[in-house]
Amino acid sequence: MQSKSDDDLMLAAGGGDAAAFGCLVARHLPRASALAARIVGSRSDAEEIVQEAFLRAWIKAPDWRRRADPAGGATFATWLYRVVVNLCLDRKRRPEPAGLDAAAHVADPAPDGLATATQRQIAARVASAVANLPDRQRAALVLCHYEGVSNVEAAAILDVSVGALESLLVRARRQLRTALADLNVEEAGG
Amino acid sequence: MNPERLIEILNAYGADPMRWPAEEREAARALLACAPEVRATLREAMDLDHALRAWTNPVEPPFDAARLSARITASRPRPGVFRPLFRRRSVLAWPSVAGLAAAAVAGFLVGWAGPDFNLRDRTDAELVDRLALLSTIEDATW
Repeated sequence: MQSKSDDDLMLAAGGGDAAAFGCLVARHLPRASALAARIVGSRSDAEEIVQEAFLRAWIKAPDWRRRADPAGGATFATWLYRVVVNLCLDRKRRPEPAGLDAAAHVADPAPDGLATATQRQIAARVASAVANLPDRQRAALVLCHYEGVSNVEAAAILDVSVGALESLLVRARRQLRTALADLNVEEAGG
Repeated sequence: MNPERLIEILNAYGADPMRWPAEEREAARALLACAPEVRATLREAMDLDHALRAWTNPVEPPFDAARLSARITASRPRPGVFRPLFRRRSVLAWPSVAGLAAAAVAGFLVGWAGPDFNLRDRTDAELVDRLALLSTIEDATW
């Protein structure tokens, strides 16, 4: 089951194969969760969004058609992450910078697992700066910088051209540079 | 590839070549080694990448995949059952649509025929004619 493409699993799920659907969920849950959490800035909102996205995938499954694209599985991922991003953007509620769960999740530089207070503060600063980006700039940055999605796929997820995606990224990074200008980069990176 | 494009790439995607557009990566990497005019932009991009790295892994998957998929598939045992009625010609949906239409037409005819349409006073042949008429109307509707 693990070796099957996303398309194969969706087609099987469309026939009512719950195991195939479970495999799809296992494959995409980590990235979908991280993506939603970074965009909405709230763990509980991210949970709801991811559940909703996978519920839509289950409902969509009977209508799923195999793509001609020889690249195969990327198309389901693109569809799913587009649903996740749109649900995040539709939520409207801006993340509360100070309340971001992210502040507690910093790079873990110490072998014993203890993050320093300074690093927590820096993580909170970065999370806050990202949270203050306009919605689509934030989504573009999260996709390309944090989730490692290619520029072509990120553009497809956001339903924009690659040029428009680059414009979103340039503006996002410019704003972040300004917001984080006083940050000590030696401490920041961990 | 030229220095202007390389600066655009650095400003959009940062300093890590793995984030650069795949089709431009090698040319950009080659130019980076011999284009001093992009060094300032490269330094800025590296600093921002370094800062962004402080915010890592904001959330573990909030629930395990098996539990989530089980909950979803249990809530809707077969996908598509709750699909809107007119979106697709579902084999399951047809009888209910046809039944509703037949009932509506029958109701109309009974009302239209009024007291004249009394089953007890009709012959079998007349009833067959009535039912055939209903069937014809139903077919024409769908």
